Amino acid sequence: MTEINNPESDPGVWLKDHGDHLYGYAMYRLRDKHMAEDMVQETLLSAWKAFDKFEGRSSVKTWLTTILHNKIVDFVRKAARQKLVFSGEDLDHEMPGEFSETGHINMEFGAKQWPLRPDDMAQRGDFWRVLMQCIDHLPKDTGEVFRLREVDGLSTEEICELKGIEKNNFWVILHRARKGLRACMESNWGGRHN
Amino acid sequence: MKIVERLMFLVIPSCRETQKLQSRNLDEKLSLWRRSSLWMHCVMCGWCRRYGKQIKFLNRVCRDLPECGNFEKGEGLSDEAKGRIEKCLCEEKDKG
Ligand SMILES: [Zn+2]
Repeated sequence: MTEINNPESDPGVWLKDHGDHLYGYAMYRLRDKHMAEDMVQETLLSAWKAFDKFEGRSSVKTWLTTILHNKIVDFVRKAARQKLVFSGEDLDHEMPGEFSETGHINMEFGAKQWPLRPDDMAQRGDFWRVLMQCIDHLPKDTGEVFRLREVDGLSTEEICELKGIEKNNFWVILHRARKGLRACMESNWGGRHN
Repeated sequence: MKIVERLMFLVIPSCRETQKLQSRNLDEKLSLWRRSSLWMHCVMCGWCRRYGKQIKFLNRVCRDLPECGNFEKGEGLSDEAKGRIEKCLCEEKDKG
């Protein structure tokens, strides 16, 4: 009987097809070439060992990305244990004139209509690049807390514990991050008034 | 009119407060009271309605970032690293 070589089950093919994607994601999150390379290698090894558990419900790319994601989160959990110090001034971030005396938004600062429907935006190739740049554009600690929560998917409790912050501060940080990210996306995606 | 407006301010949060609540609403389930005040504000205020939708959307796409981000456009794995990983995979295959 001839053995049929299924490319789906060949880690060499995974490396060829998805290696750069996995490496790019690891680099984005870890910012270290050697660590990122090691993570890709470990991901492919784990995937190969666990291939019988892959049921083909998702694509190979999704499956590999999930394995890498879990490895990155494990690593980040250990690395993120570094207490943050925030001063009150850092936390309350508003633009001058953004809100009226009564706390109502001044029109010129209001959220603009985005040129495309959100789901259509995500289809545009450039969208993800701009998104990553906008996350990177956030102030350092704010961006880090945001990534832990929204990209890595850690829980509020865990992040507060890792970073030694109170929940109230956590919410202020996240509010600030989302606000900054939204504004950055808006200016880079050419929002318009209507 | 002024009195009605004042009374409304007591019940309905300002845009500033609304945006804070909208963000918090993405992290935990707010109390019924807070959720209703959020809702009341958004009925009246198109800016905050739009703001809320946009941050919710951005939250969702961040979760998709690992898979959908176009990381391939970056520098990619070096040939040297690819060779090393390939060799390691082959060794592992031979063992198995
Ligand atoms: Zn409002």
